[in-house]
Amino acid sequence: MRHQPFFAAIVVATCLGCGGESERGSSKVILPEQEAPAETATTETPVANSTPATTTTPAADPMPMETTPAETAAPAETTTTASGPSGALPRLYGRITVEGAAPELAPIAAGAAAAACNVAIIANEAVVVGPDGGLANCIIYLKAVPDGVEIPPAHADPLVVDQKSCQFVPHVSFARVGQLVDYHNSDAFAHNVRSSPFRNPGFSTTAGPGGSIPFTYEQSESRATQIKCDIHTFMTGWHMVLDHPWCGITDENGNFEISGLPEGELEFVAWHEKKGYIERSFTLQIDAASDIERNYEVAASELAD
Amino acid sequence: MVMSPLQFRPSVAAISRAACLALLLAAVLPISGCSDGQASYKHRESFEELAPFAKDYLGEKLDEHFGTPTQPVVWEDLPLRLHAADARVVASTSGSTGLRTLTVTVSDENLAIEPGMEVMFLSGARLGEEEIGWIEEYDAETGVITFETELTGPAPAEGDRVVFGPGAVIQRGRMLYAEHCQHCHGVSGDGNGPTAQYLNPLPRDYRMGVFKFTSTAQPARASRTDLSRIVENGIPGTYMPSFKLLEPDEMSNIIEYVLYLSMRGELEWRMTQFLATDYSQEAVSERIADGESRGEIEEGFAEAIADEGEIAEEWTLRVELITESWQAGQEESSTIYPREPRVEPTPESIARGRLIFLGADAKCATCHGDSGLGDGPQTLAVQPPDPLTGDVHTEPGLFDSWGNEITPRNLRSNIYRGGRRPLDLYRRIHSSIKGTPMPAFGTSLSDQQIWDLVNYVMTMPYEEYSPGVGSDPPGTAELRALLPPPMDPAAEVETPAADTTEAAADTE
Repeated sequence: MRHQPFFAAIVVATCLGCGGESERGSSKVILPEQEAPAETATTETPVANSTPATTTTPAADPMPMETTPAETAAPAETTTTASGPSGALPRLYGRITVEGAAPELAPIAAGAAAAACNVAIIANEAVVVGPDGGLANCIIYLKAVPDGVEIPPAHADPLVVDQKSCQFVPHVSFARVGQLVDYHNSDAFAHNVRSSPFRNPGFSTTAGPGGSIPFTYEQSESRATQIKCDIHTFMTGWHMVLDHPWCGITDENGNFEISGLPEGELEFVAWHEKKGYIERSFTLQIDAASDIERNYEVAASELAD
Repeated sequence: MVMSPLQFRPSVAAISRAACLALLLAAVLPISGCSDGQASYKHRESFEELAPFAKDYLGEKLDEHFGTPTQPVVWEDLPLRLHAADARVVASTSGSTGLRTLTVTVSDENLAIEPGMEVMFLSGARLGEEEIGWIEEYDAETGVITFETELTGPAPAEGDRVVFGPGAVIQRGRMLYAEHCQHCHGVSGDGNGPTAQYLNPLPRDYRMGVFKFTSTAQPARASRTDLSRIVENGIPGTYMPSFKLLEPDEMSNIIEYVLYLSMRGELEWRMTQFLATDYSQEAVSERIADGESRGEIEEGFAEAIADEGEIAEEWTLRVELITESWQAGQEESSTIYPREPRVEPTPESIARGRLIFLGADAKCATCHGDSGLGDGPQTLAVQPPDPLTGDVHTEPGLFDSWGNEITPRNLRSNIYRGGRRPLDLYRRIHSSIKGTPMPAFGTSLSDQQIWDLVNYVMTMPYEEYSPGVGSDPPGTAELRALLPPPMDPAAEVETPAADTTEAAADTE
């Protein structure tokens, strides 16, 4: 090394920035030990709505709309498609439908594999189409919050994602950054949750029968995050994780609604797990009285296996 | 593979390297590297799928902060032991022409401070001074350094930060890495060196920041101790040999360089993922098809990489997160120790462990098979698409986070890759094998249950069982009778307890 010019340059700018003293507080994410919240949470969560996996029709998907912002009333409380949007203005709502005959996806598990989950058949929830052709589980979200917009705080209630009869319930859900997500296991056997986000650290942890895995996402995601179970590898579910409340998930009739929007020029994304982007980006000029309807038709061929 | 044999040549001339860097930066060739056969970092496949302007941006950004293998940039933000030694100025004396000696207190000595080492000031009045100081003499007792030639310019003040042998650990680590590791793990740490094509399992690809066998909690990074344990002992049952003959400082230098490669790789990976959402070649053509013009897209990109743009902020955030998570992994609190001492490996404990292994609380047999041969029904299932790797599976099989096919461990082979101490097995079960489908059971099993499982797993290689009579060891039926009944007896289930073998047949 003697008298070799030192050829590893120091990036001076960063030196200046940190001054050698920078104490970065460690913000390690450690899964807490099992805690109680599941007990109280399950009673008031969307999970109680329906029992999907025991039927053979995929339409019985539970309502994911409960996970939209607090001010949003679940618009599809009833089974008709007539129930219009009801949230506060400014608002974006609409319906996503399937063009053509809804594809029939093969069940993700049947026979002994399903019997191990105490059901006869486990429907593939990648495509859930309502009786009138509404496409459920599409995610429509505001891509980024414009500067200066005040963001309402996240739900104090945890988002409960249940694992029941080897299905994630709800199959698609929306979590706020900082909101507690309680991965519950209602089955009589162990499940694992592997979360593979793009921006947050992932994890892979087991919940025994009746157990729970509490987790909090610290970063907003730009795309939906897949969750799966390594013990029953056919099980998948999806989360949208955002640092704001402006996200809608279509219900079993294909309806969505995002209410109480901020004003300004807003960029939205519409996505579905099978289709991919329904619309990669669309920009809307929102003012106080905006009440915008936006409908999509997705070709059935794009949802087939 | 873009490997040439020249990449194994140790670097010989500092000057040609310097010229090479100048060429590299001037010509803005972030991908191809130098044409004279010097080692260069290779980008991951998904990087190559970005739009050209996004590749240019990220490639340059990485070069700027990490340099090339032969000319590493020492980036102070990274939580690495970069320098031979780190110190603070206590006092200084001047000779006739300038700074003559320096009295320092050394805080970290990663390599012995020796005459001939460079001295670099990282704070105070001498920060950024071009004149380089060289150590002529160092007295470890008094902490007095004498310079070979006196330094002109401002005098340092008490408390100024000064380093000796700046970047020396990375330099030396890189040389040792090239000598011992590179032919399997690759120049970029992508696990794809020239030898890798002959190996199964494949060498570790460091570029996701994930290492399999750790002592740390499930979401935490590997500790340096974990990495040195692997380098020292190797990984039984794989091609990773033991490097016990390395000197301790050689070992630690290699590990710093592996961490350096890992951080570079992870930053590349995370940024590529982030950019791919809007700026992959595919996304750009989709956006153009949707009516945007190429000019608009490039304008938007230019805005996003400018100060306070979303891409620029993502870079800053990523660096912070990578730094914080590696630092957290090194903290004692991240290391997992059993909460209760090991349960005696009595026949009762072993029998309890076997029940857990076969039972519904842990479902070990789903992957490892009833008799632990690694042939559970999950190995015959076709996996759903993986959004992180982008892989769509059509054939049965389990896959790890790197997208490689993987088999559950055959627990009868008596080979334990992450170590064979009871504590090692406890940690595998408690905190998972990271980057693989083996999940963490620390949240769902009690310590007693984990120890029972450890006790059972350790007896499995010696458990009686005869091939040809099915893979169930004797007594399995009796044990099954003890298992809890299925949750919902009303459902149409014949004998769910026998599901595993049937499920296997069914999936076929």
